Amino acid sequence: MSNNGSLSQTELLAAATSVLCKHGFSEVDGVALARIDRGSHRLFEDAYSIVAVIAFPNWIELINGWIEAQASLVELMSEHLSRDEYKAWEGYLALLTPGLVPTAEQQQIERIRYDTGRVRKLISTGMQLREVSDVEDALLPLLPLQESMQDSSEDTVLSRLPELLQGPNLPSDSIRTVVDAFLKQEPLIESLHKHMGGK
Amino acid sequence: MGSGRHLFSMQYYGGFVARLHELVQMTSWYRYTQRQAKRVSVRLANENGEEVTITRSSDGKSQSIQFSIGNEDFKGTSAEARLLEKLWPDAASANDGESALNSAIVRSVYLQQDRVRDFLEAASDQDRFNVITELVGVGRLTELQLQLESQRNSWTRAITQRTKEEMPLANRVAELEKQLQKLKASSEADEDVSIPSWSDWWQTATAFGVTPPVESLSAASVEASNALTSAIRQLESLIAQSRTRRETAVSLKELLAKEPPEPASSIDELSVQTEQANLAVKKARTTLDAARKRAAANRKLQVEAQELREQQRALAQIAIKLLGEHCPVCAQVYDFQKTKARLNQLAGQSDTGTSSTIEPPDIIAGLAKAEEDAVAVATDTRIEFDRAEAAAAIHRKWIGERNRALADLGLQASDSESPSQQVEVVIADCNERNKQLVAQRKAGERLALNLAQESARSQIATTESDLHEAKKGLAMHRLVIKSRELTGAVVNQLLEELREAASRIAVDRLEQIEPFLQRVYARIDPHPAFRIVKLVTRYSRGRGRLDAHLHDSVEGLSSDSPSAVLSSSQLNALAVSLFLTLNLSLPRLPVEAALLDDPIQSLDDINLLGLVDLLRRTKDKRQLLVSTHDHRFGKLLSRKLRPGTNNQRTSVIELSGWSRSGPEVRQYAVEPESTILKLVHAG
Repeated sequence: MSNNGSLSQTELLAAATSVLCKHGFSEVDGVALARIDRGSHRLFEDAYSIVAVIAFPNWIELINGWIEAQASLVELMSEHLSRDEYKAWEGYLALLTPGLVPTAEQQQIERIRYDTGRVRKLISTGMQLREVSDVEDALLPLLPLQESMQDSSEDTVLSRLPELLQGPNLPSDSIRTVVDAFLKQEPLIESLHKHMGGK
Repeated sequence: MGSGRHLFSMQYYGGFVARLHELVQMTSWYRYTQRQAKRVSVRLANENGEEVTITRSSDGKSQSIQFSIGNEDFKGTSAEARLLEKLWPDAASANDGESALNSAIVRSVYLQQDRVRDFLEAASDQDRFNVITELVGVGRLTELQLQLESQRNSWTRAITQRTKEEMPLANRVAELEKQLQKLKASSEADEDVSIPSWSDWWQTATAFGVTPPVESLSAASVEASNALTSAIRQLESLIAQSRTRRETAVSLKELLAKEPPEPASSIDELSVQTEQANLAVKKARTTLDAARKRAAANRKLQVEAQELREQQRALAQIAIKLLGEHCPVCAQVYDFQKTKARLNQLAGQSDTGTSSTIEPPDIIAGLAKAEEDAVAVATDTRIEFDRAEAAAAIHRKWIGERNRALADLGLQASDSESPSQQVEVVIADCNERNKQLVAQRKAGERLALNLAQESARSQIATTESDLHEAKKGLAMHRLVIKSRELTGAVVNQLLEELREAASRIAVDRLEQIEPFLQRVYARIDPHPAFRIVKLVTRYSRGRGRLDAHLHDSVEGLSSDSPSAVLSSSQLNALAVSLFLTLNLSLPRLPVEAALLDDPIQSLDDINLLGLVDLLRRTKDKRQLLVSTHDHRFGKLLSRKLRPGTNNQRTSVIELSGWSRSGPEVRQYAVEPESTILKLVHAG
């Protein structure tokens, strides 16, 4: 942890490595970004993308250093990808810093994020990186989708209605009768009335 | 179809887009016909490999649908029913199944180009809730609730109506009870009153002149009461006639007692006397007139003589004054003295000389007195005659009245009995007859009363039976009402539970969806501040409502109106996020595919890249069909959505032009990368 409660550079890189590798990325060990401190960045690759995660100590260095980092990534991709491939669409630059960005400087950060000229930039700063899980959120666009609802039951809500209703005086067979009448498009209350032995 | 519904291929208007699956070989082409008919077919396959073809045709005026599965073909409504059964079974029980299926598809499977933001912008919070509840399976629950509410209202109205209908039944029971009480009171006979025999009464009545309605009428006959009523009316009439006869007899008796006196003198004698008196008057009057005429003639002669004498005296006096030698008239000589003496004689003669010829006045007076006396005698005689004649007229009138009354009573003047004696007999007869008729009438009334009492006694059993049935009907009616109220109470409880359950389930499902939505939205990350999106549900006026809320966690700001804080591009990104969230997170989909029709409208580069990255991850979960008119986006998609492994396939279908035979299509497969991890391997 840094002094302001955010994650340190090392923690950010470690967390990013953990998250990306857990979701199918391979860490690239053999090559590195030119002109960028080896200790402040990691490279990852999967079938669709090349990701450079760079952890800056503060937002000023991030603003000052992202262009160089991007240029270095593009260079790296040029060296290893064929000429007719759409390089910009394969590269991702994850710019992380535990440093808090003053409100007045937020626009500079957004300007970087909206710059799609060469590679897509993912930026997260101080307030957004307070927990390890925040790193996963920062890298979310790169991660596989996870299933949302696990309810794969073929039963419909109507079929489960007797168990869903919790009224003390509602017999489940009465509820079932109403549901059956509804499904058969028959008069609901008449069916219930008949079921209850009504006159 | 279950969870394995996949899209094989699509055939567009007049043309064919081969898809994407080697298992299905498309051999047919559909084109515009000469009648401008259009046709679209979609092929699906279930987990068993069964092929399902849905074909919709339109001739510009009407549409038809065909559904084929295996060797079975369905058309029209049966095709629609099968379609619902296979694609969205929930919708089969919906009020509008087609609409429910359509809603499910356009919100979770097919993102239409021109309706990307409908869900966020145009739809009401209630519409949004309905869409979501439809997708999460609560739609039918809501419909069940609405139907139950509607039918509950009808049920309640019917009970109210039945309760109103109870009043006539209760009234009927009360009336019958009252009627029974009256009948019992009416059936109690007065023991002191003797009831005449039915036949005896009729025999007596007939003797009085009453005409029975039929020859032999028994007391038990239904006509008995009417016959008795008719007979009593006839008796009343007979009583009235008898009373009238008695009154006539009494009047005659009084008339006879007041016989006017006959005239004292004979009318004829008085008539002769009157005529004689009149003749005497005439004679006296004639005599008097003749005397008066004679006197008048004498007086006239006397006057004329007197006038002549006066004229002669005047002339003589004038001539005396004018006497001369000659005649003043003819101028001849005359005897003057002699003439003068003659003239003096004439001038000096007196008026007497003819008075002895005038009728004396006392004669006239005597005649006048005689005439006056004759008139007085005639007048007295006339008065006497008139009096006698008036008395005779009064007597004649009395005689007439008497005779008429006698005739009315059927009597004649006889030598043996005077009219008065006969009248007395008639009065006595009438009194006796009246007495008998009244007695007969009273006997008839007692008989009628007895009949009514007999009738009442016979009605008691019927009324008691009717009362029993009425009470039974009323009790049954009340039982039905109570029974229906009991059912209504169960329905009310069920409705309360349903409202809570629909809300609870919808909220539960949305809570399950929401984190995924957040993660999908964060992948595109369209807004620098509003990075958190939530689906907020609430219930108002018995209806569920849903809004998408955006939240800025740094500044603590929220907005329940995304269109107010997001740009068009950001709003599109949110709409697509929501669509893909629903597509990916629902347990059941009509078709396990996602169709995005030109989704990049108004997306700026950053959002577009975010969308493509999202789609790249989506293709592992769903069969994706993305259309675009943007060549650059198409290239980006083909690159990003390329197959990552050999069991994945990606095809690009380019519609390069149109001709009369259909679209000009170029299709090619996107090959997977030969070397996947280039940097890793380079190291």
